[in-house]
Amino acid sequence: MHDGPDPTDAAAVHRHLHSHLPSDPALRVKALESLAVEKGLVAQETLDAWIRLYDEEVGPKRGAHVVARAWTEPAFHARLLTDAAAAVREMGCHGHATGHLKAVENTATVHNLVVCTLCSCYPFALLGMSPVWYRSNAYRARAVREPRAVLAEFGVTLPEDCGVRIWDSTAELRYLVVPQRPAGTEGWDADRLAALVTRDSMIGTQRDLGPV
Amino acid sequence: MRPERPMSEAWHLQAHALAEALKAEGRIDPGAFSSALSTALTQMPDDDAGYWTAYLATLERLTAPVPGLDPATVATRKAAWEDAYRRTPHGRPVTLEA
Repeated sequence: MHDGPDPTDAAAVHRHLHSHLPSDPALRVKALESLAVEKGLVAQETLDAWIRLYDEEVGPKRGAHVVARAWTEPAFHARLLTDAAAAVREMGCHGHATGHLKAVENTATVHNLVVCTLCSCYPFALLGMSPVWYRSNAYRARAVREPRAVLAEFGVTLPEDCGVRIWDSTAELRYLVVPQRPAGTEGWDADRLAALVTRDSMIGTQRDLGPV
Repeated sequence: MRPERPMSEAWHLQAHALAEALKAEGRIDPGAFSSALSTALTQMPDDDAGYWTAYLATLERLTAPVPGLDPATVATRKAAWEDAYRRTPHGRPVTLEA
């Protein structure tokens, strides 16, 4: 079985040989990266660790464990709301865009929604990479102007007496929404609870979590 | 809204990792990066491809004043990688060494 080009077609052979040439932007990144490492501006190990972190480990599960611990440990809950950066450092989440972090808690009468109106600032170390919609102009503009309409598009309809607080992330300060613990989870341990916590609930575009 | 893959191409992840590492090392200013990215985003389509095009342009702009990462040096290095890819047969590691 041969899946290459017709060997009698020199142009096709040429194209096939070069078909693994990365795209222009990929080459631009590779050029910058290799120079930055070569000049000692960043360590290759640091870059590899970042990539491994985002690619394999983080997702939103670190944030979910932070939330679940807050639900189950009142002392940690208090520390998280007082100094979120210090609290998440206790759990080994530090450095990567959580240096200045604020946790904001949903209640029966308050719903929190996070946006970065400027660009796409986000607590990567807790939630992994930001979703495409979080980075979109539409979300960034509308989350502040018409939050209830945006929430409705995510399937969230807030009661009349529930206010919305918008938190505008910056390069210096990012936010983590602590959603409400779902009813029917009394007695659950933190690992089981963490499985219920979604990325969107920690941004604020989801309000009610399972199982009830 | 729609489900999505957060990084649709490998270079997105590499660019993001490089930007965050350079910020952490104090080589580029996080606030200046956010501000420049915000401006760049206004000039791109409001989609994933537009976002990452703006992101890379911002990274290049913010690294341009860093010694060793000036545009001419980066362009030369890019050409060297392109040559390396062209001359390296499939299945062999691509390196800058001839």
